[in-house]
Amino acid sequence: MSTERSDESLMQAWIGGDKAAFEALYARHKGMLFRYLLRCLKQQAATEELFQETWVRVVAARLRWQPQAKFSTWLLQIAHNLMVDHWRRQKPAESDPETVLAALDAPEEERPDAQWTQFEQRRRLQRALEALPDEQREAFLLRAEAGLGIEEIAEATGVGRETAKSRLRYAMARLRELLTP
Amino acid sequence: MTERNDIDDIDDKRLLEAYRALPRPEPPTALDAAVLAHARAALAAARPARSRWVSGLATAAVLTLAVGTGWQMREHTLGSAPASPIDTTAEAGAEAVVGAAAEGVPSEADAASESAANSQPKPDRMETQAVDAEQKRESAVRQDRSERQRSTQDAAAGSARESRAQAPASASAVVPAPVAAAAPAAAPPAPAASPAPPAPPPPAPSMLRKSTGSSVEGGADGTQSTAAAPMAEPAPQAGFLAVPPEDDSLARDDGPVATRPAPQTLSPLEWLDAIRRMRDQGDARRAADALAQFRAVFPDEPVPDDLKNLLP
Repeated sequence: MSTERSDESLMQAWIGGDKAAFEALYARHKGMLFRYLLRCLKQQAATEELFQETWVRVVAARLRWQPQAKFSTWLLQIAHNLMVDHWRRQKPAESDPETVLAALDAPEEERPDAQWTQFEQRRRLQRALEALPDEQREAFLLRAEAGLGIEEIAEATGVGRETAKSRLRYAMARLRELLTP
Repeated sequence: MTERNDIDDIDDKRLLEAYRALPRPEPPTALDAAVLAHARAALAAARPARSRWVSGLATAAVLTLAVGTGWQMREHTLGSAPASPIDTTAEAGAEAVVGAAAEGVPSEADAASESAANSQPKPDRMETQAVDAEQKRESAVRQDRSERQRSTQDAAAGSARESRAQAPASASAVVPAPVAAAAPAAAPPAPAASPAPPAPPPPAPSMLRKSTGSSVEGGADGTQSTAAAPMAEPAPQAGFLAVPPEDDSLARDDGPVATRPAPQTLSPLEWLDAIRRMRDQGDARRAADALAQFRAVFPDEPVPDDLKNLLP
């Protein structure tokens, strides 16, 4: 594990013409990116479209990549920008958090004897994530899925550190509320 | 530290564990293949571009080196002595230069040398140039030879003038001879009643050797006859026609020697010497005629004993 090459080393090798370096880089980040997009967009087709478009952008912009930039942050920043454009094109009106929470709560209340099974927990978390505002959900996903810190979330999403921190804090609190029986 | 504290405050480990327990979907295999194919295509498209750039630069470098080397070799070849066919031209040009430098004919030789140095002539042209250079060299040598002769003659003329001033009789006796021989061909015969001719011109170079010599009896040798050629200039003094000519063929066509006026400028000794020379050459008749004329001109002069047998 310790001998594993860093993302930056793989990126530089790929820029130098090493085809295998890109394949390693892709294998390392494809799942994270795909899940991030899927849980943000909540649509398989849109996720696949933006997933491919993200990597196309990476390939096209590889020569402009700066070695001091963290690859995962750069990759997620590209994906974020594509998602913002996507949201601008088709902003759903049903993203109102209250509506989502109401929808999440209803089934639970319809089951008085429901037990918090593992399966149900995952299902509730998924529905709670979908109910989060886009910015909060994205901040949570960048933290939970990509392991980014507050600074990196701010960098990837193009906002200030405090904004990123606030979004992440609100996302955590809301999920706790939704998942607490 | 602040970052760590902030994230610790916010993080909910239970929540994060719950999230990691969620299904972890992966992109479809077709999507993976599409992305990887796009990356390979981009990489393959970039390689030829770099190869073309590198190959273009390499080609330019090779061309630059080739042209530079060729230019250097060309200058070196022209600057040094060329090989076989060029050698002829170069040597001829060099000889011409040497000859011209010694003989004062620099322009043509320099031109030949320069043409040999500045061009890589074909064999025909080189042969032509070689021949031209050889001709120029020979011409320069001839000119040099004639100039040397002239300088020698001038020096001899100076000494002859001096010797003639010291012994005018012996010098002036022979000088007019070739002039008299050439005169009939160049100028009409002077009338017999013509006044006395002016003083004789400076002695001819070929004659100066005899005049400076102790004896006039040396006769006409090959050198003398050859050197007499330049003396075929118009004779200024028709009166000297009476002097026995050196060139008999010309002298004989002029008719009887006795009919010619006697040169008053010749001394009796000179006259007698000329008669002796004719006798020694085997022309007794002309010697006898000249002796008769001598007696007519100098009736008081005694006839030497060695010439009395020519008397009638």
